[in-house]
Order: sequence, then structure tokens, then C-alpha cells
Amino acid sequence: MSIFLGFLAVAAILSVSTQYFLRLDNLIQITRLSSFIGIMALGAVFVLSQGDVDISVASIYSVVGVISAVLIQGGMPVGYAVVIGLLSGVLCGLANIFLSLLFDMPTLIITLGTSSIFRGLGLIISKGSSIYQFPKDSFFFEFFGGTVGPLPFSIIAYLLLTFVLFVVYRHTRFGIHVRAIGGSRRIARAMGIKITRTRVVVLMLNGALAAIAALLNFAYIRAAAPNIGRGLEFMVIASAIIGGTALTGGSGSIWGAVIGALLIGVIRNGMVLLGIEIYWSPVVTGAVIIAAVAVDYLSYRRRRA
Amino acid sequence: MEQNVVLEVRGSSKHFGGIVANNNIDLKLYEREIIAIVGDNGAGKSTLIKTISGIHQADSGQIYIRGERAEIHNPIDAKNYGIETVYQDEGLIHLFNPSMNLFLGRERLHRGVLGKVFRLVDYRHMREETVNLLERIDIRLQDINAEVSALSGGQRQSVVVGRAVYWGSKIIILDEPTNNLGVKEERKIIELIKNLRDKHKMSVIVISHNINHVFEMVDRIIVLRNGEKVGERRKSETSINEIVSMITGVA
Repeated sequence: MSIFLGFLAVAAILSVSTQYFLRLDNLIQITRLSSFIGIMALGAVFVLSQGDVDISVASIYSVVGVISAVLIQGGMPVGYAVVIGLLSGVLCGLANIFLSLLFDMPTLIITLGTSSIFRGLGLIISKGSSIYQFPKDSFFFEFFGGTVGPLPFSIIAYLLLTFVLFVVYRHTRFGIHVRAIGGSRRIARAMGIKITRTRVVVLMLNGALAAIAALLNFAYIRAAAPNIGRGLEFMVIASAIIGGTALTGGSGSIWGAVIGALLIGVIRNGMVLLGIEIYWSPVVTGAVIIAAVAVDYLSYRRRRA
Repeated sequence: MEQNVVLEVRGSSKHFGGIVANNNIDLKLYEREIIAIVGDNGAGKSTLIKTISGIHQADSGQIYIRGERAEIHNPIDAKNYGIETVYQDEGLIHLFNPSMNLFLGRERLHRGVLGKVFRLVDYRHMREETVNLLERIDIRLQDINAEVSALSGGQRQSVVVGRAVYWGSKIIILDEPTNNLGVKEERKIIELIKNLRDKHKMSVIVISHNINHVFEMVDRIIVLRNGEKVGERRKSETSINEIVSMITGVA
């Protein structure tokens, strides 16, 4: 609730500060760009709730776009290329949890490494350059990168995913087990919950969501590049934390992450509209991230007391 | 009166490096009785309990459940034999409410399409069952939807015990159940433990430092010292002094 109020406050301030904020095309643009971060933030809610951290999502995001783009350029039908891109994302997620289990190390440490590896693979595959020559009328780009009525398709996809994942998170055994594992892995194990299986599924889901976001973005901008999305992982995780998902695990909020992603999108958009130099953007975003994590940590301390 | 043996430990020995934690310990637990295992620090109580509950493997010795040889290699095996171990108020997920903790790992799905197709959890049913259970064990909670971290230590412990009752455990082991509790809560847990035997027909093993509480609750007392069983008495046939002298080894 407090996040929502915070969000409204920021939106209100921007509405009075600049006439461009409340324009319909601007609002649509905010939600469209927030949807990419937002889709990945849904994955972050599950990962964090489980007690894991995946900071390789931005790299998965870039390499998936590159893989699909290179395949299409090489002559593969767009449909197949997209499916392979999606599977690549899932595979990256699987690699993350597999390595974590193999070396018995936290996913935070492993994804520190895979973050570089995945992006590096993208650099290799694309030979370091952007890919932007694509067939003119392709259903994929037209539909998935376009609008359905007034709404961009990516927003519709985002809302659908949010709804489904909300139900899974709160109302299925799986969602309960994810949170139990984050609450206390030892006790969850003692009660017979399948820890490894749940962790594998969550990390694969996270990879899939990063891939979906990447492919929707790819459809919209009709380009792919190995350097896309640098720094996105922090905005994704921050969205989840702003939305009430604890960094330490055990509890979280799907709809909160939606507000969190919107808030970050609104702040970035607001800075552009207010004419603030683009170089300030990472500074402000970083400050918001620190504030969000600090508030979460303080409430964690209070809960422990 | 002939009573059945629900749990028998024969010749259990366990050492850690050069230290002998348990040396050839025999133990019988009968149906519907409460026994206490007492002894000073380092006497071997905890090791014996962990062997029964599957956390340790004894170096030698056997365990029998209702006359049949039992292979207990891990806590899940122990659970499958109907043995639950309660370490004070541990065993709960703090951010979950009592009903989610009661059904942890065994959540109920909705009947019909919601459950069969969408695999949705039936929170209402779980909540109703929790309310009924808490009544059965005479525990009153202000808000059944609150996280268990909002409950007192004694209430949390009751939820853990209640979980064992609900899922039909026959043998329950309680490790220092009266520690860290206020006076009223001590009373409640002692009553609850007696009810486990009388109302819920369970067999209970209590580990406790508090000899007074032990004498209030149990039928038999088993004394360990330096890893060995030095004595076993029916409560009605012994005194606090005798037990204390067996614990300390000083006559």
C-alpha cells in the first residue's frame, strides 16, 4: 500500500511539473518500457522469495535477442528463431541453478559469473555488432511489437503474465513452497518439500521471463545488440524489492513488483521530460535502489526483533 | 495391565571421534505413556534423541517400532514411522500463519476444477481444520491469520505439537519443552503434554532439565550419565532426590 502511495506521489509531482507527463502517448510509452523490466521483475519475485538471487537476467536479456536476431539473419524462419531464443533463456536459467548445485554455491555468486559469460556469448555470436536488418512485413514484428487497439502488445502480455504468476505465487502449492524455502530451507526440507526441484523450476522460469521480455523488446525496436540492457538487473531486482519482496526471502508481492517497475519507469521518464541530463539517470536510479533496499532491510530488522 | 511397546531401542551406541556419547543404551517406550530422559549436560540425551529421530546413525544397536525392526536413516524415515520431534518452537516458517504451517508440505487442494485443473490451494479448508485442531488441543489464538512470528514462544510450540497431533504421529519427542516460557505457558504445555497421552493416545518422550516439571508430567524416568543409562524408575516409586543423585553420581 505504501509503495502505491509513493508511486502516486511521484506521478502527481511529475504531472504538475511538466505538461508532457500526462499525455496519453507518454503514459503508454512509460508502461510499454516498464513492461520489459516488469516481466523480469515477476521472475525476480519468485527467485528472491526462494532465497536465491539472479543477477544474470540482463545478460540473458541481451543474449536471447542476439541469438534470435542472428538466426533470422541467417535465414531461419522467424517463428523458429523466436522459439529457440525462448529456449535459450530457459537454458541460461537452468545453467545458473545447475552450476549452483554442482559447486554448492549461492546463486548470487554463480550469477555474478554467468552474467559475464552469457553477455560474452552474445558478443561472440554477434561479433560485437548490432543486428538490425530484418524482413519488412513479418508477423512477429508487426504483432508482438505493435499494438492491439490502443495498447502495445507487450503491455497485454505483461498483464497476462502478471495475473497468472500472481495466482501461482499465492494460490498454488508451488508458490507456497517457494516462499517456505526462502523462509527456512532447513525446515522446508524437514517437512518433505522438494528443495532442489523447486529451485530448478524457479530459475528456469526466471530465464524464460527474461527471454520473453527480450523477445518483446526485440519485436518492438526491431534490433538486437550484445550491449542491450546493461544495468537492467539492478532495476529488475529493485522493482521487486520496492514492491515488497524481501531481499532475504520468504515473502513477496507480485503486484508490488508491478508498481515497483512502474515507479522506476516513471522516474526515468520524468527525468527526461524535466530536461534533466541523461547522465543523472543512473545516479537517480541507483539512489532509488539503495533507498528501496534500505527500507526493506530496516523492516527485516524490525521483524526479527 | 499389559501394555504394548511402541518403541524399543536396543544397545544403541554412538561415538564422535574419541568421545563416547551413547554407550549401549536400552530403552522401551510403551503405548500411552510419558517418559522423561534426564541427565546433566553431556550425558548423551540429545544424541539418543537424534538417533531415534534420524538425525544421527548409531554405530551399533537397533530400533524397533511396534515389535518390527525399523531402519531410520534420516528425519523423513522417522516421520514415516510416526515419530515427531519438537525442539521448543522451532519447525515453523515464521512468515506463514498457523494454518499454512500446519499443512506445510501437505497443502490441501480445492476439490473440483479449481484443484484438479488449476492446482489451487484450499485456504479455507486448511483454516477450518486449524481452528478445529487448536480447539482440540485447547489453544486459543487471537488472530488465526497472523504470522506465527506474532505469537509467543509457547503458542508457537503448541502449533508445532498440534501439527504432530493432526498428522497422526504416535510418538512425539519434546526437547526441553518448558524452557524459556512464562509461568502460565509452562502450565499450558504441561497440560498439553498430559493430554497427548490421555486424550490423543500418544506416547511421549520428554527431555528436560527441570526435575520438578518432570515429576509433574511423566510416568517413568530414565537417567543418563556420561553416555550410559544409569537407572530407570517409575515416578511413583522414586523421589526427586534419588533422581538428582543418579544424575550427578553423588549419593
